[in-house]
Amino acid sequence: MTHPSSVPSPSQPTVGGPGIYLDHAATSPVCREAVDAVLGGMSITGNPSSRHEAGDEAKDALESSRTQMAALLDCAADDVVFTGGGSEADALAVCGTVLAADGHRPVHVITSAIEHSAVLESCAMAHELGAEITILRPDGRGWIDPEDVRRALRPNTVLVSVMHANNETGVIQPISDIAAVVHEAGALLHTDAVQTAGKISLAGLGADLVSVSAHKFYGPKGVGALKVAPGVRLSPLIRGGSQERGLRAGTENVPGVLGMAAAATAALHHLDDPAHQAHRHTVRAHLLKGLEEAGDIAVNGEGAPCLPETLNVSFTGVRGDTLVDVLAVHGICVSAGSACHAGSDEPSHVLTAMGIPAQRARSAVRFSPGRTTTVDAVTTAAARTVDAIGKLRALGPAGAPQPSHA
Amino acid sequence: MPRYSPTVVDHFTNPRNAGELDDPDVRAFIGNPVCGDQIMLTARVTDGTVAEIRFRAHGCAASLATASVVTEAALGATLGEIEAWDDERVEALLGGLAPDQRHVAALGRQVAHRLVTNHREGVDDDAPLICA
Ligand SMILES: Cc1ncc(COP(=O)(O)O)c(C=O)c1O
Repeated sequence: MTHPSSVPSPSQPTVGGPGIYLDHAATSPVCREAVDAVLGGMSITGNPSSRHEAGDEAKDALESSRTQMAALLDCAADDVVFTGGGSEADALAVCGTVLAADGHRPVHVITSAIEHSAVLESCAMAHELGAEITILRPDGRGWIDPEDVRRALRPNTVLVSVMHANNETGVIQPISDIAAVVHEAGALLHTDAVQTAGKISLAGLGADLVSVSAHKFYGPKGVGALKVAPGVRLSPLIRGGSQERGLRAGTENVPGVLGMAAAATAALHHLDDPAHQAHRHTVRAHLLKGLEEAGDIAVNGEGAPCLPETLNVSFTGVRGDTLVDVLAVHGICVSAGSACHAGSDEPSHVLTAMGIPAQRARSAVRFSPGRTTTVDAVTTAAARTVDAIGKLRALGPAGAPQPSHA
Repeated sequence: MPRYSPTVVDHFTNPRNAGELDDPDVRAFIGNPVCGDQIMLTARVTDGTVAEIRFRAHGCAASLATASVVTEAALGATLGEIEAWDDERVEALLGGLAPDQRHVAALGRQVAHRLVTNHREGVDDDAPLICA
């Protein structure tokens, strides 16, 4: 893996060899297939809406990409709406459903406290549009109980939005069970599958609306898609031309869409590859085993089904943002749930909703290896992390926990 | 632009004077209740000059670097000199801070001043450093 371009800065001292990128839940490198497809798309001149050969070429590119995305989303090509990324897909699903509901009585929307801000803020916008919002709490593992969804349903519930897997903990939610409960009540289900698309199958989820974002599955940034099942009524947020069945105006991002589709096809190959599937779990096991050497750690989300690519760990006595900064100097790229900005820091809303005390939430760091991450890389990263933790704990209160091998 | 100055990176990766003196002449503690950043200094003072100093700290990377640069600058300085430090002086010691990191300069200045006042008044902060 090459040194990440942005972290650490070349003007700062870096220790050791090339960087180790363990922040794939934030974004992934663009795969070769997607790069080639984007570059190819750059030399397509036409507007897909134009009635001439150049337009046809662009339209064909768009429609073959739509078929590729349908394979990822497990739906018909006609059900795929291209968007400008995951946040826009979430906004269209949530606000589009509320706007499309007949305005005679207030509608009700159910979501969960662990959603990405793109969904939570869209629900806040839906509230401004007159919707009633219920926010469900997860259990201590960060898992949403379908029975809690059942209890929250009301006669006027139009939409339930629960994410497929959480971006901080990787915990996978019981979407098909929730779909059964929601459909029984005659409501629609949206799931934000931004973290799962390309990592686990989206087949048989049963959600009516499914958001994905290309840059999380080795495609380009700023392009995504929303599956809109047949019969679902949505109002567009971006209005103008009649592109995307009138659900999203604007001349399509042809190179971006081509890149996303190529990345989706490549991801589906990996999904079907047993060696790759074994590798995902091996990498997580080695990473966790290495981090356990630090002593006094807690895995956030432990005990729930989860994506092997997302490992969220709290290290007692160490601030997550501080550890992230120290590791960045060593070329290791990870994320913390909270950062100290202008003297205040809010611990992660996800960990807080799980009932994790603020102190433990502030000490959380997310490690998210990816498709090209090797066992050697995570072993090295874990060893450097343990070393950094030992040093940081030594700076803190006397009697703080020390690495178990020290 | 890099997130931190090279000095800040240097000090949070290789902190100077970390630890705690046994039987210090003076002990000072400052905690930022909002951010949770905390710095504790212990020092030995000879003829109005800091002869030995250590820090313990819990907080963001910039606050750890602050604790470290403050001990380095305080070592060998007179209490009068330290008392004259302002936030800008601490920020300069750190090689500059981004606007959203400036609170650590105040933290550094406060704990240094507290060391001076505590010594003058013959009191110690015995608030324990806790991880918040
Ligand atoms: C779960 C989840 N939803 C939505 C988003 C937003 O996607 P995008 O960055 O493409 O707008 C992200 C990533 O940031 C995410 O992790």
